[in-house]
Amino acid sequence: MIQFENVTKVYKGENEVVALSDVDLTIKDGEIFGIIGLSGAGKSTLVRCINLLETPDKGRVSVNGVDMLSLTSRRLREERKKIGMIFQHFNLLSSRTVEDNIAFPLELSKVPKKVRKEKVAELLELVGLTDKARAYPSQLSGGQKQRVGIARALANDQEILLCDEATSALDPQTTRSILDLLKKINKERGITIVIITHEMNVIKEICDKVAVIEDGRIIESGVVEEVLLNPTTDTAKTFLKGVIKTEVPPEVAARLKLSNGGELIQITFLGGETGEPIINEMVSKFDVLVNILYGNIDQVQDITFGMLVLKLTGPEQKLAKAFLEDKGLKVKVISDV
Amino acid sequence: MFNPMIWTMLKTALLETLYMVGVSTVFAVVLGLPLGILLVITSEGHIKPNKWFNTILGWIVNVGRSVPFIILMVAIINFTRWLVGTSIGTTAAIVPLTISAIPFFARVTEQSLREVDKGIIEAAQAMGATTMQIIIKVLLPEAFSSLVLAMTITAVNLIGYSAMAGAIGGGGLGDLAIRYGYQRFRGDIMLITVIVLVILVQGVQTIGNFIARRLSHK
Repeated sequence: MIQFENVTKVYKGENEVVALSDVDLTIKDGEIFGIIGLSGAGKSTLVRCINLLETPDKGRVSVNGVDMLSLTSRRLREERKKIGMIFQHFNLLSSRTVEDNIAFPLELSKVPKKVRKEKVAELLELVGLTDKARAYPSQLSGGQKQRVGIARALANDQEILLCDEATSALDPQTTRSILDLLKKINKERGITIVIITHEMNVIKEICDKVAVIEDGRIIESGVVEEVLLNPTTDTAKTFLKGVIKTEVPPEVAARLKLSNGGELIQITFLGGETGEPIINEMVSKFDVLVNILYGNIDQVQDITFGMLVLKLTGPEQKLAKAFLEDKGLKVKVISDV
Repeated sequence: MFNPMIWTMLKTALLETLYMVGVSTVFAVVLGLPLGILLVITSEGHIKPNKWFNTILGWIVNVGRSVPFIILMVAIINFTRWLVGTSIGTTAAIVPLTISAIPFFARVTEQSLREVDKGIIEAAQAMGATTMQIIIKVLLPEAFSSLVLAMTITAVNLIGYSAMAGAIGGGGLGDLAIRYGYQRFRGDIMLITVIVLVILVQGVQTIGNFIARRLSHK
């Protein structure tokens, strides 16, 4: 269990930056906990306060009951060995092969060579890189590098894995495979995973719980579905927009411009009403023609989010729009795209 | 073209130069490397920041680097005599050569080590590495290729300085060029000595580049 009590961190200097302000946070064992925020929100500082790569100015940080701030540097190093960490830019040693990179934390712990070898082989298998054991990091793809990072972060049988923007440098497909691997590790080893990200997709894919951070404060937190469905703050809403892609891609917008006549509207729906045949109802009730020009539907756990761009033509356009709004959909006129 | 005596002189001079440069490079590396490491790790934001220590050390290194070699050579004659028992000859020349190269190598080491990605160091800290482990297992191996180039530059510099050491009877190629080529107007000896020096510098640089490239996995 990771606990933050009133943790505050201020970067002093010419312009003082409050990176964390009175943060309270509890991460339970075995959870995949996501922390999302825009860049500069303080999420990186937050995760670094767990293993004290950054030292809080005020407050209490405890990991598995150990008060981290009370430790001598020697004891702190011992505690750090129980916390694995992976990074956006992987931070592998370029002078070491894949297997030697994975063996690195074991060397630091003075594990005998024979044990090291067995452990490395086991970890290589876990992350699916057995055939790359002798390769150097520069010969690997981003996804493979992160797999090495993960193997290295698990070498000491860590109970906690901190992920600092671990998928931000990866393409969507690779991101997915890394997230799947993290999920698998969480299931098989029961390891607690803390994920720092600015991508709502990451939260959506694997997190159990999420905290939204802004200006050093946790402004919203809870079970992922709840926060996604009922965002109460603007920041959370902004992130949600990212997931349900309510923006029309520019190339589509360009095409929409070419179609003349009628009115372009964008409707956004969230959760419940997706079960009803609303568009169908609208067409049968009003004298209006509907052309579906663009759409996007997404799923978070069991809940559907979506967006449609429609072209309405006909005398009863206005009534039709009002009907959609009555049904609880968000309607936006985008004739001007 | 030349009489055999010139070849013998040239060979002796070359060996003397190699001896002076070789030994002083080794000493400069052995003594300059720890200084370079200290300069880096005590700098702000590194693994053992210590502003005072860093400032003072930086200042000392700068002083060492700003004394012209020819002055240094003369200035430390007493020290040289005390250390190696003589102030004349190739062995004596090694002392000022080394002392001039230590601060230089410390600075180039500093630059090499500074190039090591902060993220990698942070990762090692997150894994519970001690300062010593970070130096030995992260900083030095990661910068190894770049350090080889630093050694190469130092050796090349020392080849140039060793020629000046001839001025106080240090021997070597520079001495030969000055005594025969310059003072006795033997243009041919001057030319051949310079050619040998050029080949020597090119050779050292090429070998250094080759090793550095082989060591780099970036």
